[in-house]
This record gives sequence, C-alpha cells and structure tokens, in this order.
Amino acid sequence: MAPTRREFLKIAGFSAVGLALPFLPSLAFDQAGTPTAGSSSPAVQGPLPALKAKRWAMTVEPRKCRPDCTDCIAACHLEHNVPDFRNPKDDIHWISLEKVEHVFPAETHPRLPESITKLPVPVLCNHCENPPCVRVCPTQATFKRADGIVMMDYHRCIGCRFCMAACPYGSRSMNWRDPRPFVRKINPAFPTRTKGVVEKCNFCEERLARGILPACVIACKDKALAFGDQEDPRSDVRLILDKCLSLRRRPELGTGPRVYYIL
Amino acid sequence: MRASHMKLLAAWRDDVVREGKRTYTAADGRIHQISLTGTCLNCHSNKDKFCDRCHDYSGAKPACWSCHIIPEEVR
Repeated sequence: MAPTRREFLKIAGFSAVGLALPFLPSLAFDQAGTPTAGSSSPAVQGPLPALKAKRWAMTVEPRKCRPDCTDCIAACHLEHNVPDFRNPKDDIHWISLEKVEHVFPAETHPRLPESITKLPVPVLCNHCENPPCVRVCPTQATFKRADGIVMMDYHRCIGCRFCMAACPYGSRSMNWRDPRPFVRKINPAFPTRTKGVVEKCNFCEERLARGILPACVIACKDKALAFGDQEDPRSDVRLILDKCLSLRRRPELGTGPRVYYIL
Repeated sequence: MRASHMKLLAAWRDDVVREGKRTYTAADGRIHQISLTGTCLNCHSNKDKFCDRCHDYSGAKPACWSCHIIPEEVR
C-alpha cells in the first residue's frame, strides 16, 4: 500500500532530523561529555548488558540430573531469600523436585521403566503464554511482561490466593508468617517477602537485567537446565528443542507453558 | 524531596517492577541505578536518622522495610 501524504511527511521529517543530528554542536558535545560528567555510567550500568529476548523459555533434561542433587533449588532459594519454614504445609518453593507421575499424570502408565519413573523432575513456574494466574489476579499484582516472563509485583499482592487456585502447576506459595526469620542467609541484593503475599519463580529477571543467566541454570553442573529465547533459532533452548521430542506440563489446558521437559 | 519522596519512590518502583526500567537519568545527566537498598541507602545510610525520625514524628508507617533489606541489618 502506498503511504498516505501524512505518513510520507512523517518519514521525511524523521529522516531530516536523523541526518542533521551528528552536525548539531550542542548534541555532539553532550554525547562526548556525558561519560566524564556523569558518575561513571558504565559502572552504574553493571559490567554486562541486560539479556533480552522475545520469549524466554527453559528446557529441563531430568535424565542428566545426578541422584539426590539439589543444587538448583539451593542456588535459587539462596538468591531470592526463599524462607524454609521446615513444615511441608507452609512450604515455599520457587523450584522443587517432583516425581514423574506427579509432573506428567497423563503420560504415566504402569509399564513405564523404572529409569523414567524414578527420575527427579525439577518443576518451577512455567511462565505460561496464557497465564491463568494473571487473569484471576484482582489487583494485577501478577502480570506478563513483553518478553513472556510472568512476574509478581509484591507491593500489590493482597494475599487473596486466587492465583494459587488458578495455577494448575502449583507453582505458587503463600507466606503464612513473616518469612524473614526463616531465611537462612539473607542476600542483600534481593528483597525478602512479607506476611500475606504469594511468591513464585521470576525466571531470575533481576539477573537477566544484569546480564546473568538464571541461578538454577548456572548452578546445575550437569547442564540439565538450559535457558534462552525460544524465538531465536540459535539459542540454547532451541538447539535442544529442535533435535528431540519435548513435553510440556498439561498442555491440554491451553496455558502454553514455556518450560519444556525432555525425558 | 521531604514532601513528595513517597511519590518518587512509588514511580520508581513501578518503573523497575512493571516497566523493567532500572536506571534514572537525572537533570544533570547523571545515571542512577534505581534501587532502595543499593542506591538510596548508599548515601542516606543512617535509616534511624534519615527515615525513622521523621516517620515517627509524623506517625507514618511505611512498609518498605518489611521486605527491603537495610544493609547493616543483614546477618
């Protein structure tokens, strides 16, 4: 379709400004002057540029997991000040290990080999394409970012637990008590939560902003977890997804999970 | 700042949490990382004098510190 007169004038205007920019003395001075005048902007920005993606996704290969290894859980819970109430009723988890029959109830049957049924499967928030928790949240404390991360704004959470009822994966946990006394070692770089808020995995968005991969992925010595942009054909996630059959948890619900399991 | 720091903090909070915008460029061109524990308390390091004295006097009870960590209180 040919551009309308209005669109043509807009484009022409922007082009003219773009061509003129390098020759404007004030702006040229600004560009050269900022780094010295400012309080060292590279240091403020951090050493690495933020990691960006169209759609973050994770692949999990439980066959690579060592038996009884909980490195991913330990790293995540240390990073995010996840409390340990030492009581399964109040348990708070961002990532945990589950049995295959619980993770894939529809895919399990009595004739599965023991090598599969005995696997510990790491489970975490699936950062769904169509997240039911976001739809039910009455305060929009849970929301989906443009890069697909389903995030929580703990400032807004009123603890109604609709999201816990809506999430078909049990990825969310409620703080029934003040969690801070139960955090083993506080990481000052990340806030704790307070009594009466729900919490869950955030795909380490605070680390991605600093250019670092999620804590569980880095902690896994067996490379059982991979993280990347599922829209980028050269990402770690796509290199794995493109070569074998992967499963998602309860895809029939239409939530569109973005944590893929290779069993 | 004394009168409207709460509006600034609320705007910065929304910038970081909801927009993913983690730096603030001041009028003089300096770039600041938006972080209560990391940036604000770096200079205003004495919470008792800088936050509590005024909040106690005015009866304000902000809930910042039930989640955000005061650096010197870390175990």
